[in-house]
Amino acid sequence: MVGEELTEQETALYDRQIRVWGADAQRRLSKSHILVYGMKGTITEFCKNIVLAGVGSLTLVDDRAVTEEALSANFLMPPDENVCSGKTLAELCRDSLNEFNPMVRVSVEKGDLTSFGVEFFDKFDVVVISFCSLATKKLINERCRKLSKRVSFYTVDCRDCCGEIFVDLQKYNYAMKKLDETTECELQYPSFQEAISVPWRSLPRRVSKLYFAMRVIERFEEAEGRKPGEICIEDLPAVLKLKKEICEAQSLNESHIPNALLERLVTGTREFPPVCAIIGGILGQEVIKAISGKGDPLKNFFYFDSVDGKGIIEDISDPTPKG
Amino acid sequence: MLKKRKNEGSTTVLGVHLCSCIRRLTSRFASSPFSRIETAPATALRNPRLKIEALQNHVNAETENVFDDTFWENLTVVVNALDNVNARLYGDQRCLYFQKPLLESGTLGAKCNTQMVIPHLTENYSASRDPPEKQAPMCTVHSFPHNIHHCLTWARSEFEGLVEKTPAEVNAYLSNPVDYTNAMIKAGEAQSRDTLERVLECLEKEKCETFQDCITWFEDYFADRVKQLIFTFPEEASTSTGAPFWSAPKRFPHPLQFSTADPSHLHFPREDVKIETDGKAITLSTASVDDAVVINELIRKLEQCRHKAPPGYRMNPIQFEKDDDTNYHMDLIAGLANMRARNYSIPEVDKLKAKFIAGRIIPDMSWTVWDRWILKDNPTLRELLRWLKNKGLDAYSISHGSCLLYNSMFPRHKDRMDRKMVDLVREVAKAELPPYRHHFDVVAACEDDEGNDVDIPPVSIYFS
Repeated sequence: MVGEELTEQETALYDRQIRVWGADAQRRLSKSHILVYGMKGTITEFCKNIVLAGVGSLTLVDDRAVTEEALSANFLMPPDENVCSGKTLAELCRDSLNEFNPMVRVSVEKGDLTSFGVEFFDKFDVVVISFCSLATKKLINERCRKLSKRVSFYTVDCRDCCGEIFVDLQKYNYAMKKLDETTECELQYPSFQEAISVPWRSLPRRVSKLYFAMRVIERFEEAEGRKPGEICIEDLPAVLKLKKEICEAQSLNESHIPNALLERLVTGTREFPPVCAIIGGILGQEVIKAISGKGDPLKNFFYFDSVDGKGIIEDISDPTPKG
Repeated sequence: MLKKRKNEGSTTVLGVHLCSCIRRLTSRFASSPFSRIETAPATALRNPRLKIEALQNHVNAETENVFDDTFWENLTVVVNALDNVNARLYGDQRCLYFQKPLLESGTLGAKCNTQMVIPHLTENYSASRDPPEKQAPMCTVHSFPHNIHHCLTWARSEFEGLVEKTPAEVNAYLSNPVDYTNAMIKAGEAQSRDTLERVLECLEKEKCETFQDCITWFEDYFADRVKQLIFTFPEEASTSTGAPFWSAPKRFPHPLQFSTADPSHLHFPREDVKIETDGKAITLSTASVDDAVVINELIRKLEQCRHKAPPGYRMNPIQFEKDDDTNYHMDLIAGLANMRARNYSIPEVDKLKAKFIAGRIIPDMSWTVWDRWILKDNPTLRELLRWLKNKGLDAYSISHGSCLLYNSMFPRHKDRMDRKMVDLVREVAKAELPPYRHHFDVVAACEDDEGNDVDIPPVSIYFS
């Protein structure tokens, strides 16, 4: 366990980044504990970023065996197949991440994340889950919110050549810098459940189409009892039908969600490494901001699509205060 | 810099400076720079079909025997991850010539950018230049700082002048006195004179050998100079419009009293740094302000010093190295900046913060060779001010050498408006302009429409 001050070794290793965000932020990073679930391409990029940045500890959860798909986007996988056999995805990633920065404690937690109780999540400051079903996202988010201390919660999903990040920092106070002044700000984040419950017709027209498309896919996979990403082109007609139903229920014109976009998400279930790097980079940046308390945090959805190269932040929260 | 060869699916990695993240990713804690390049091939293991070739050579005009036509012609695309603009410009020219796409990138702190340079589709990298990072104008840095950046810029500039540039000039003189002095005489300008004055001061004054010397040096910087400034511009001074001179953003300074009780006063290091005392300011005789005459006088004095110095005597110019914590460079700069900040009641910073800010400052204050602006036809003061106004500049002060010709805050200077500039320079500045002279230089301190100080080059005024 690190002491109050950064050690000489830490100051030397993290010299360049200390110049960017300061020694105080580095100290906070070195005391932080991150939980990560779902070792796919984007998450491995994220893990690389925060391990190199020097967090206190990183706990990985993913009991799946290595697949060919994993090898295509996960650069933490050793190329030698013999090394892979018998080890889970999390274990292999842990071994690689340890080499990146021995000062970070990287460990593996086995088991079904949804079965861990609230007290398990109390050990962490940040929880990041990827490629989870709608039910799992809601469940883990609620567990984090039940704790008396704040646990920052993030979900991330990349499909085809685009991706989505969701952020829940609950009640977040920070000092916002504008030119030479700093003003105290308080942001109130909705939970994932609250955010997706915001009626679609109350959202501005220009809200990213990806938000709606992702919600349709989410609902489809849940309704059909599929694992996330367990979807293919043959499902497209059913997906489009579901889209029509949801749009009607939400009083939204169904042409608002392009069919072409849904087709991309249905067929492109594999991650695209450059997009993983971008989304993993943004996610790493957000987590560092939340831990250090420096910088304006993203609220509350982020979208990137390499088709147009745009990164968009959408604030999807209910503006009316709750009684 | 990464370059992808076509047909073979191979990548050539060049250059010593990989970015921080890649550095730690591929080197796995190796600290020597060369091992970063050598471990680049290790990344090919992730994808066995990718061949990587790592080369140590710099890519510039001198290595065109290595990076020859064949090398460039075989490339499909070039990806940049460089740390300086010159290398980027060179690479851009090569890509332009050989018509190769260039994916340019750069980072600075928490900021980054990428630029796609595609043949026949986009402009090339060199086609546009970033505006220079906004440097504080000279008078702000020299006399009217209002934030710690100004203090650090000043400290950085002082450091360079004191321990790098001036000793280097001294050595240039000592190595070849005849050529050096001839060059100065030939240039015959205010800058040559300024340089010679510094060289003479450096050679003539005693080394800072005793603690008393250092205190004298401290008092010159943080007491005497401030006292001089507030003598010229007292606290209650007002401009010609009646507004207070020392209004925001200007901050009224206070001289510091050296005290052993204050630990920050004792931080000025003596090891490795040759610090000249400046106990008495050099007073120029205003009787003869002609550069050429002063230059000859300075050269004469320099000769005397040279003969007194031991044969083969040279100084040791020191180059600023901010990352070596044992050399006290950052200590000195942070100390200078913080004491100056204290003069002006500006919040001070710790050494780490100073290091970050100082690393981004390019000190080029007193040694910049600027273009001159030229104004012909023997103008009056009014015509000069109007000419500047047409450029969007509000000139509030005009000086020749160390002599003030006009300042908007002095009502009696209004009488000078319709006087010819050349007459003012002769009468007020007592300048002797020999028959072969057709021009003289003035320095104008200007503001833009929003009242921000703007730095401009010296203005050469032609009167015949």
